[in-house]
Amino acid sequence: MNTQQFTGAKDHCYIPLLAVNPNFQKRGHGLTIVDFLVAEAAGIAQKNSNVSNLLFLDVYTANQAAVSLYDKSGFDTLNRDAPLADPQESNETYVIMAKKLAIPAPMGTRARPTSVKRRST
Amino acid sequence: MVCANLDQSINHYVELCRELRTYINQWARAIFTGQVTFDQEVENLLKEESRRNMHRAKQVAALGRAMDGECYVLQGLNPLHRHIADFDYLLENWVSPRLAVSPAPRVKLSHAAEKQIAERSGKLSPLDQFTSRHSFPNQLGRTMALRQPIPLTTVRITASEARIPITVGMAIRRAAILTRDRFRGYCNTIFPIGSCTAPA
Repeated sequence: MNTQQFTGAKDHCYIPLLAVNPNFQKRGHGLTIVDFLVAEAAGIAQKNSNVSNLLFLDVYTANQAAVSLYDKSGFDTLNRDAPLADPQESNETYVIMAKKLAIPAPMGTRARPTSVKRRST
Repeated sequence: MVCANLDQSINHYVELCRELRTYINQWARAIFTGQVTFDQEVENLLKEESRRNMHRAKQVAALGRAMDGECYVLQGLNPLHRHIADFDYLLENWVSPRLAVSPAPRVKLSHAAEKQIAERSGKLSPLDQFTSRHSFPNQLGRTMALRQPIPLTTVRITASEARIPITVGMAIRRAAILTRDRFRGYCNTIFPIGSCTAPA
């Protein structure tokens, strides 16, 4: 997949594989790992102007636990109606998910809250 | 004359390093996406060529440093040093490229999927920066989040409730500090759930 067509010819971050030791599953470690990776990707995108603020991943549709995890982490399924087949895995279908990263504004440029007017007594 | 030649040599190696690095990246990407199969001989050749190129580039850079004052400004010297550092790192931490485990990089998109992805990726909205638990705004924010202090008062209260002598209570506290330092960010797995949700 050439994702550069979706990122304005920029490079992008991508989660290729994520696994939690079966003995430690169902404890929120997956969510913690994804949150950590999202923060890392946001940092990379912030530092490099040629890196897009979209974070991509792909997941097999049969892996509902993973799909649910990424849903919880704020990822959107991009090709819900047109899943793709992986020929190397007996044409198992997968979808592509992405998340737009929240990149903080540089220091000093953040909008300040509007000041509260004092009532004159 | 010497300076002009040296300047030319430096620029030549800058260009050579850039081309070689681009080629290595393209080669690795082609293997990752399944366009080319991995060949050990090609990898050995690229590594050997990189080493040879680095050796010569370092000699030219050393000469450039020695002549920098004499020749006033050798503009290619800094880029050459950057390339040398980059190649040194690459050769020391070399990872053989291999085919992507996940399907997206190696499978061509269908027209329908491509259309839908293009449409939906343009509509993605970022999460609020400071209200979401999902994205800590920066490195500092993330580090701070991982360093949420463990409420030691909770440990003290638990100890006193169990009527444990104060020395034992202190030992528990010290053990808690050591454990916290070792397993920063994973306190919920070590302590009972809820014991590290709020700082003391």
